[in-house]
Amino acid sequence: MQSIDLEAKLPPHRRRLQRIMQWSCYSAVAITAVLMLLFFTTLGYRGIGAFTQTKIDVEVTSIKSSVKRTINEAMYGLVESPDRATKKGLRQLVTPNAYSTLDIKEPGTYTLVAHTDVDMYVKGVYDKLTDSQRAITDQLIADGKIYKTWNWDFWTNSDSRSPEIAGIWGAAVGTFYTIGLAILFAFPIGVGCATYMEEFPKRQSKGWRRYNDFMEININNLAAVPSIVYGLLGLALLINFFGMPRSASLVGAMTLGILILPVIVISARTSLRTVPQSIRDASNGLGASRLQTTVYQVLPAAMPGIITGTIIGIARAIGESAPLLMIGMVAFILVPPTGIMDPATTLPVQIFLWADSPERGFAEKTSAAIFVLLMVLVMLNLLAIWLRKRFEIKW
Amino acid sequence: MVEETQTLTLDRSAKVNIRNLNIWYGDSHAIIDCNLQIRKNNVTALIGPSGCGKSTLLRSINRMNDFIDGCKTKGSIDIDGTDIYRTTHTNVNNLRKSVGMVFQKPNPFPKSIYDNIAYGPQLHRMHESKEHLDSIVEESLKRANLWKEVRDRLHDNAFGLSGGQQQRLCIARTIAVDPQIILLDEPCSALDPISTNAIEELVLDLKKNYTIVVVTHNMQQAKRISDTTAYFHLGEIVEVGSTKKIFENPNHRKTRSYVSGEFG
Repeated sequence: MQSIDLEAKLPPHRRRLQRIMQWSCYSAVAITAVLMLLFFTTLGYRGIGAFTQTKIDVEVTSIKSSVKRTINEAMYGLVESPDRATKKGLRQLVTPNAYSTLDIKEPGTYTLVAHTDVDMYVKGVYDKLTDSQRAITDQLIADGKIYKTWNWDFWTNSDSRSPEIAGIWGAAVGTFYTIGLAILFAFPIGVGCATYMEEFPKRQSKGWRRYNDFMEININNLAAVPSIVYGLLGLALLINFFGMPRSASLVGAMTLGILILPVIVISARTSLRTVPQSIRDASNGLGASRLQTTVYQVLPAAMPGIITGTIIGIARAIGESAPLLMIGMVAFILVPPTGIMDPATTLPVQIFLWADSPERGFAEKTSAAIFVLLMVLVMLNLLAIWLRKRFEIKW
Repeated sequence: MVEETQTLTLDRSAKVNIRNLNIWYGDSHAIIDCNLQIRKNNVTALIGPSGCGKSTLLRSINRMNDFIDGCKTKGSIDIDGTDIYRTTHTNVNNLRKSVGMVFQKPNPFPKSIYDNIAYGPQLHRMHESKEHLDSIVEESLKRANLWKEVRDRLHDNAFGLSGGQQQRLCIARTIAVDPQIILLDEPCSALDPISTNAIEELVLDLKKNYTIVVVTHNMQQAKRISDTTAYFHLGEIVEVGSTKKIFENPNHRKTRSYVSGEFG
C-alpha cells in the first residue's frame, strides 16, 4: 500500500511557472493600486485649492450712488491716502462680479470675494499682480484683512466667466434632473423588455424564436455602441425630427435613457435568470398565470440584482459627456435650471467646459469638480454593493 | 404489454381517468399509450426505474408539461368527467388550483412562512378578510403538521426552516388553495429519514380529504403509504394493482424483478 506524501514538492518547472504566475498577479495589483493612488493624489493636490477661496474684509463707511462706487470707496479705505495708480490697483483686487451680486445699503463690515489673480497669488499658483498690488496684498494678509476661507460659493454658485465665483450647483441641478428623468425612462422600459425576453419567449413558432434572437443580438450590441452615437441619435431624432428644445434636460435624459437601456436590460435578464425555475413551478403549480408568477414571485426575487444593475447604469450615465455635447447641453449656465425644459448642463460637461477655459483659475475648479463627480460615483457603487449584500437571496 | 383486465374496464368511481395518453418530448416518446384510473381518497404510487416517465405522467395531470418546450400530448385525462386537455387557457389555472403539486426539492418562496401559505389564497381571492386569511394559513399549517413548529415564527423567512419542514410547508401551501388532488413528485428524495417519516405520516393523514398521487423511487415508501401502485417501464405502464398485490404477487415478470430489487 502506497502512502500519500503530503510534503511532496511540485516538479521544478511547475514551481517556476507557479511563481511567475503569482508574481505577475501581485505586480498587476500593485501597478493598479499605484496608478489609482497617483490619480487621486494629483486630483486632490490640484483641486484642493478650489475648496477654499480668498476673501477681503472691507469697512463700508459711506453709501455712494452705486454699489460699484461704494465698494471702490471701501477698497480705497484699506490704504492711507492712495494715489491714482494705487486706487486703480486696489479696485482690481476685488472680483468685478461683486458690483452686480452684492447689495450694500448700510455701512458696516463686508466680506468681498477677491479677484482670481489675488486668489491665485495667495494660493501660490501664479503672480500677475503689480508691485504696488503685491505690497498692499502682503500688508493686508499680515493685517488679517485678506484671508482664505471655506469656499461655499463653489457648492452654491453656478458657472461664471470669473473663476473666483464659479461653482457646480447649476451643473449639479442639471445632473439631478437629467439622471432622474433618465431613470424614469430607462428603468420601466428596460425591466419590461428584460422580463418579456426572459419570461415570455416560449412561443413555439420558428419565426418568433428568430425574432427573439435578433432582438437579443441587437441589445447586446447596443451596450457596446460608442456613447457619442447616442448623442447623434438624440440630435437627429429628438431635436431635429420631434423639434424638442436644445440644451433641455428632458432631451438629455431621453438620450442618456437610451444609452443605459441595454445595460439595464442585460443586468435585469441576468438576475431574472438567477431566479430558479422551481419558484416559477411552485407559483404556476398553485394556479397562478404566467403574468402573476412573474409579477408576484420572479420580479421581486430578481429585484435586488435589477436595482444593482440599474445603479451601475446610472453611474455610467452620470459620467457621460459626449452624447450631451451633441444635443447642446454644453451650454453656459449662469442660473440653475428650474424645470426639465430649461437649458441645463451636467457635471461632466461642466468639467469639460472648465478644462477648456483659458483662465488658470479654472484649473483647480476642474480638478475639484472631477473629485466631486468621482465621489458621487464611488458612493453610487457603494450603494449598489450594499444593496446587493443586504437584499441578495441565497437560493 | 398493458395489463388488459385492469385498464380496459372503465372505473366509473375513478377520480382521474387517463386514457390512451401519449406524450412526446420533441422526438422522444416519453409516455406510450398510458391508461390509468386514480381512485378518490386513495394514495396511488407510481414506481419504476429512472427515466421511465413517472414524473412526466404526474406533471401531465395538472398540465405542468405545458411549460416545457417541445412537449406534445395526445389522448385524454378526465378529472370528474372533464377532459383537462380540452379546456381553454383560463381554466388551466383553475385546474392547477384543484390539482396541487409538490416537487422533488422543497421550493418555498423567498418570503415569510405566512406569505408562502397566503400567496395561493390571495391569488385566487379566496379570503374575505385578513382574519379569514389568517385562519386559512393556520388551518393549512395544521393539516400539514407544521403549525406547532412554526406558530411563533410565522413571519420569519421560510428559508430558515429545515428541509423536511420546508417540504411540509410546500404541502401546506398546496393545501391552502383547497385542491382535490395532490401530486407529489418524489417528495422525500431530498430529505433525511426522520423528515421522510413525517411526510409519510402526513400523506396517510391527508388521504382522508384528498386524492393523492405520488411518484417515488423508494419502493419501501410506496409499500408503506400507497393503496394502489402502478409500475412503469420505458414509458409504458406494465402493471397496475393494489399495492399488496404488486409487491407480493405481481403478474408480470418485470414488475417482480423490479420490486424485488433486481434492477432499478
